[in-house]
Amino acid sequence: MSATDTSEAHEVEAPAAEEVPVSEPWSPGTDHKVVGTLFVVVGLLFLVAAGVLALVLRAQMAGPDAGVVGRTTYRELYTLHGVLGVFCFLGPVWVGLATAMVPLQIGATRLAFPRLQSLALWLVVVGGAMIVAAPFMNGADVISGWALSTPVPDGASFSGHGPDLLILGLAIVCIALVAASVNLMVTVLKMRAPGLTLRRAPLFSWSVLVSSSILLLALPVLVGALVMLFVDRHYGGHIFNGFTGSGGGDPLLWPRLFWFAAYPTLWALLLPGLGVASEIVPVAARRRMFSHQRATLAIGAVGILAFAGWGSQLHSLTRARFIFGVGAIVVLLPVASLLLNWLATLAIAMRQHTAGPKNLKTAPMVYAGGFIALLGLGMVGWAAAVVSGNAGRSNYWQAASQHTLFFGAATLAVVAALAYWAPKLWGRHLSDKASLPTSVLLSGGMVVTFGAFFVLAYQGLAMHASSFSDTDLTPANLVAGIGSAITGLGLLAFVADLCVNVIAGRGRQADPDPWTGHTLEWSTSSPPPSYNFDRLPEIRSEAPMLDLRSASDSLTGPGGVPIAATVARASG
Amino acid sequence: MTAPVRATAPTPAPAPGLSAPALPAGRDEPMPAGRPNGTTLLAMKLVLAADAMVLATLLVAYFTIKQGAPVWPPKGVKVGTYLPTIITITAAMSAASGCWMLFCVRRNDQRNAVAAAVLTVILGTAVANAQWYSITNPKFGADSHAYGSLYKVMLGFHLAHVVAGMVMIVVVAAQALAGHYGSEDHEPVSAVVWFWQFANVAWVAIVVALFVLSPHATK
Repeated sequence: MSATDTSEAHEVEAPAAEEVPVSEPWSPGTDHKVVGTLFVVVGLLFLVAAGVLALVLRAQMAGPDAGVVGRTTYRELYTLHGVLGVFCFLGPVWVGLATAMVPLQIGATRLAFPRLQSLALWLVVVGGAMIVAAPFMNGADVISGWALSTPVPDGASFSGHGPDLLILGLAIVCIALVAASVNLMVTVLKMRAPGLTLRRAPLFSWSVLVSSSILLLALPVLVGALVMLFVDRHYGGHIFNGFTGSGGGDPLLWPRLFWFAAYPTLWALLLPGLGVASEIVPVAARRRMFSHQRATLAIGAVGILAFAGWGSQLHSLTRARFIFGVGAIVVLLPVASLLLNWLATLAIAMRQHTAGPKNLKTAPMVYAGGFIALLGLGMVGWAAAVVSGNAGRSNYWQAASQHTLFFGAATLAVVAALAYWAPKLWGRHLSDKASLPTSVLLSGGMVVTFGAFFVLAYQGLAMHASSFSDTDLTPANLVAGIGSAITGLGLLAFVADLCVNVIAGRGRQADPDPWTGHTLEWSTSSPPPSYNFDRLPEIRSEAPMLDLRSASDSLTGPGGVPIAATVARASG
Repeated sequence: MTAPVRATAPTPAPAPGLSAPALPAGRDEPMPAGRPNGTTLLAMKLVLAADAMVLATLLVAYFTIKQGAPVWPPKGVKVGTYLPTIITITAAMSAASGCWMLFCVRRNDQRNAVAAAVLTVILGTAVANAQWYSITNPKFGADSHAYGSLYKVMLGFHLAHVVAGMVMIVVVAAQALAGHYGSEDHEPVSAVVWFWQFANVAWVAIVVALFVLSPHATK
């Protein structure tokens, strides 16, 4: 501005009309958008770490008797890969997105307990650092796998500084996730704007409520079990030791407690993804969800049924495993209902021409498309694994099915969520052009990798194997290696997209409502001020912004129904 | 610390559907800045739900291992009843004085509230002291057998809750002394008393598991 060099006697002029409101200076302790962003950054850093580990693992398994890493190192990296991927990437990244977006979606100015979320963030950092440090400790090696199964394969000892750090770090991360979940639940339950009933709650916020409820009930079981494991490993206790000594104890207890906690946790880490797709699909289709109510019910049903199938992951069970297997299949029904709900929304939009190819080629919808594809394939694979897993013991079925649904689909949903909300949170768009190749690399690479995992499962490769010499196993292992490299490229492309467009600020500047969104976060500026909203629109349905537009555009009432029809219906 | 700001009451929504042309309309009242009523208490109840899952995990582990053991408790373990009884009686008294504190705050009676808090902390210290003794005194250790490991974990679980509860009671008592709470506004006190009563209920569950239902194999 050339007016700035005038003398200081002049009063500062009133801001120009086109000046957008900027957010206030960082108050990192309390602003949920800042804390959420940091959570997301921490989660993505752990994703990169777990991804690099995966590449090393696949390089070792790319050919028979490859000597990339030794057996102990392989198992240490394998353990670290699993623990980091589930508890330090997926958990924190969803908590971060929820922390940043839920108050905006429900029309609140803040979280219920802002400083608690900050505490949870730093606990995740501390716990994650302890987990990462565990393999570097002297003494026993951390070779148990992410299930921390004891006794460790090959009967190696599992006590010393490494296992101690792993157990304590994991417990700290779990406690942090529980604390953050309590905060998010209270926020959704108590801080919603007037008129925003739970039935009208945005589906992402609703899925966060359901997912947090699962974490609230499941993760404490893991914390309790970890405390007992710590007593066993550090103080020489006998709780999980088995009958060999005179001490008593039950070696079957640990896997039961672990999977009772971990199985619902995995579903809890997919649930926000279902919510994200339920946000993006109707917005891209420029119409309401085919049935908002059914989507709400389906997400809730997934939350309840998530507790029904934990025994399907246990090889020690035989007859009971069948019943748990039924539970693990039934949980797919509400997921399928959601899938049909999204497809119906898109199909109706196409038929009624509310949305054309232009709306569907935006970055969030492209990534959501990858998510939906992986979710569909993952459901088929999941069912196959639950059925076939009963036949074999300790094999790749678990790795294949869990990776497809809870890493593949969930990660695509995280990417879609970041593409959808990056304009709102950080004021910059991710690249629309790069989204299609990135989505194809990510989801294609995952389909190739985990498809090969299913072949390996069929061939009966052991999950803990750190090398193989049977040449029959070479093709599938090689394909899995190539697929993981493709996935890695996709991840690299996405991180580059984030760095260039958001961090370096090269991306397109965002309007307050770039996608013609439905929910309240689009009623405020991009990025929002620290107090989030100056005022809120009236809330009369699950899509208040859509109501606003349809009211001013075509004089229709809520729900897109013409007023004449509404009045006629009201008068009988 | 400022007193919490109450949320403004929601305006009654107009009948849906009929007044649509009046849109768009903003809410003219200011956005609420504080937490709505009941938030702190709800958060504490959720924390206690999570805590109950931890306790349930310990109990499930205990009963599973007990079920599979040929002799329970293991040979050489004498399950005393004297200390657990003393702890139970003291914990019951502290539960009563905790309730007394809450009732005093509700009546706006700060002086008696602080007296009740002091009494609760004294009783809590007695509980913690006896609990520490019953953790450290036995001849067996956490590494002797599964009973020993679980005994120390479960008693330690209760001890940790008593200590945490006392810290929270001291904090809210100091705030009550400073006039933070009144008959209309005492949610943190309610939350802390909920936590305190959870610790007492947890103790009852642990006593039943470890001392009442256990000595079935004492021959």
